[in-house]
Amino acid sequence: MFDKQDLTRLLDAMRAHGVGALEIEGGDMFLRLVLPAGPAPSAITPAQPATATAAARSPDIGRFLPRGSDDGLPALAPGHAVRTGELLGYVAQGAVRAPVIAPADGTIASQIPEPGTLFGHGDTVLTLETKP
Amino acid sequence: MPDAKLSMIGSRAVLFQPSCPFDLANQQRIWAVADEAATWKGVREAVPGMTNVTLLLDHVPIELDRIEKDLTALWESGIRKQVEGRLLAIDMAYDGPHLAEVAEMTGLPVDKVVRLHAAPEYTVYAVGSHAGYCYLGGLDPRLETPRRKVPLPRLPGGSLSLAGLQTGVSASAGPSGWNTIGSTGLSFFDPECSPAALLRPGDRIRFNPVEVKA
Amino acid sequence: MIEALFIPPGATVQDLGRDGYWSQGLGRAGVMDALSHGIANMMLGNDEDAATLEIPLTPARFRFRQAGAFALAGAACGATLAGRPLPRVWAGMADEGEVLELGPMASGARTYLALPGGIDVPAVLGSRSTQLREGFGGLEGRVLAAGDLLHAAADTAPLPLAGFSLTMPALRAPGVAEIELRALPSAEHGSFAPASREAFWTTPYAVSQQSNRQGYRLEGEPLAYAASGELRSHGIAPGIVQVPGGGQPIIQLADSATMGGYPKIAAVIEPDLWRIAQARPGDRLRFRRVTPAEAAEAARVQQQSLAGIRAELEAFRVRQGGWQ
Repeated sequence: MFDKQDLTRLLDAMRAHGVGALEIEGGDMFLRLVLPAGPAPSAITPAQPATATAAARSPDIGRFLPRGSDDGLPALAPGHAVRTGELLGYVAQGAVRAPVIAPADGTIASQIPEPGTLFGHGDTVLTLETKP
Repeated sequence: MPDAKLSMIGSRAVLFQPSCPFDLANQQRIWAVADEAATWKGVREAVPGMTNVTLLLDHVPIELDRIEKDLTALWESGIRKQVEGRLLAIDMAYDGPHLAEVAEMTGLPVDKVVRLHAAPEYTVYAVGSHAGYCYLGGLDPRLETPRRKVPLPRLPGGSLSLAGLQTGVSASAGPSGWNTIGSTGLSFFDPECSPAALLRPGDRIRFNPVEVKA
Repeated sequence: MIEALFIPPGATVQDLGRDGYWSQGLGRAGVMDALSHGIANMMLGNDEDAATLEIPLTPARFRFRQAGAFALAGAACGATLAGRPLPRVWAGMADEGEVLELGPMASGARTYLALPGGIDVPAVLGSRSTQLREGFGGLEGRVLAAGDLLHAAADTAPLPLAGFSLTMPALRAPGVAEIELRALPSAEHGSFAPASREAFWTTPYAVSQQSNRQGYRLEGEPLAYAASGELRSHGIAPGIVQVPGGGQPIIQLADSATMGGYPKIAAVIEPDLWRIAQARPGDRLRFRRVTPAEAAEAARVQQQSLAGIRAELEAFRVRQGGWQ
């Protein structure tokens, strides 16, 4: 099976070559890696004043778990205003939930990833629109 | 009388209730059974009750038949623990909230209730319910009363109560389903002492009435 | 070190309880929800038996007099640290002066606050649990009040800087309104009327307002005890379901008496006691009959699950250590 290093290398390679999804089959193993898409085109409108973006990055390798399922926090949606340090969701491995933290004040400018989406350490999980 | 000899009262707790009269000789057999069972592998504590024994275990028991067999064998062997306990005289004010009710339930005048209650030398059969509380044997059967249908949420420490053929003095404030007839200032439990409980099974108590108020 | 700024009466320092004094009439006390307590400790790398603060009533506010790590697990209560919302299961760092605020509990009934190494109070008779009735243990044998200071027994805890959360078992099965409690039939089970036994195992019982650390009084179909005569007082244990003359069941819990005399219909198994602790007045409970073998299996499964979480936590710590 792949270890952490293998997966990190695979994900780096996918990013470098602009590969959005990769499936590997061999023996009794099946692996599917999916990188999240960038911000939806509708989030960027030409008439808007200049904005900056910031990336909320994955703190671990694992699967996305949205905020608000059983953690007592409200669910997150595109367009929500968030503050620096706010917990936006989780990247989970087994029972451990590593927090995805907002790096700046801003509004959510990307779709919320599907629950179960695989992320590598450092991957952009959510994009924030911030004041420049 | 109880349905079964051995039953589960928790994941890791069993209750052994042999059928027997409620008297000192049988309680002495219970003390012996508890002492022996306390040494068994897998038994955290063996707690004597009123002619019964509760075993607190390390693991969930899946061989209940074997435990019942072993306890029954111990019981039927007739081993007895005869204790030369200490005798403690306790000043008691017979001024409890249910004294008049007990007089009514037993059909006896209040002063007779007090005289019958203070007459015997009681033996501590078991320590439990709350820290330091002693279940006493020796109550005059004419003072038998039922437990209260709805327990009282808070009775002060030092309360003298009775229910069934049992009587005892509470060591601290708390709920009680018994009928309360008196009060005392004596302390029955001190965590700084070793043992922390003042009295042990086998010790004896005599109540000295210092006041009667129904 | 944290200072309680505001706390309704009811919060107590507890560990897993005081063993070995049942014969002297002293019950175990200890946490009502051993699962949440254990998880909070595990997240800080504490021993399972380290003392935590059991908080049954909110709102509450604590100030960190010194920077330090902390963990929360249990009921969701809109917790915030310096205004930043926290998930109901959380381990993270607080800066000196930051205020941890707990809001109303929407679901669940208790939350546990853990500090590095456990809350530092003297052990009495082998435990740091509070014996409320006798007035010793924990923090001076009493509930917490505004102005009280709680010290951590250790200076630090191994924690990723950003903090983390954990997935915990759900209180209810998905889509089910009632909280299911697995229970073993107890001594007087057979002496209850057949219709009452049927009602006990198949109909819901609501948690009444008269519910606390000593026990929970339930409301539902009355249970008719068909035998006569008073039972002789006998040892009882937390989880025992007694039925006094009124016919409404009471579940005895952490601070219960060590002996009782009411008829006993069933005993809730230990791995499900935490569910009772998280039930609020008005919540409905449903008892499910199990065998001793199933009770043993449930205990094993829970132990295994906790061991699995511990291993995952360790792997996570290693990964986080490598990336900092």
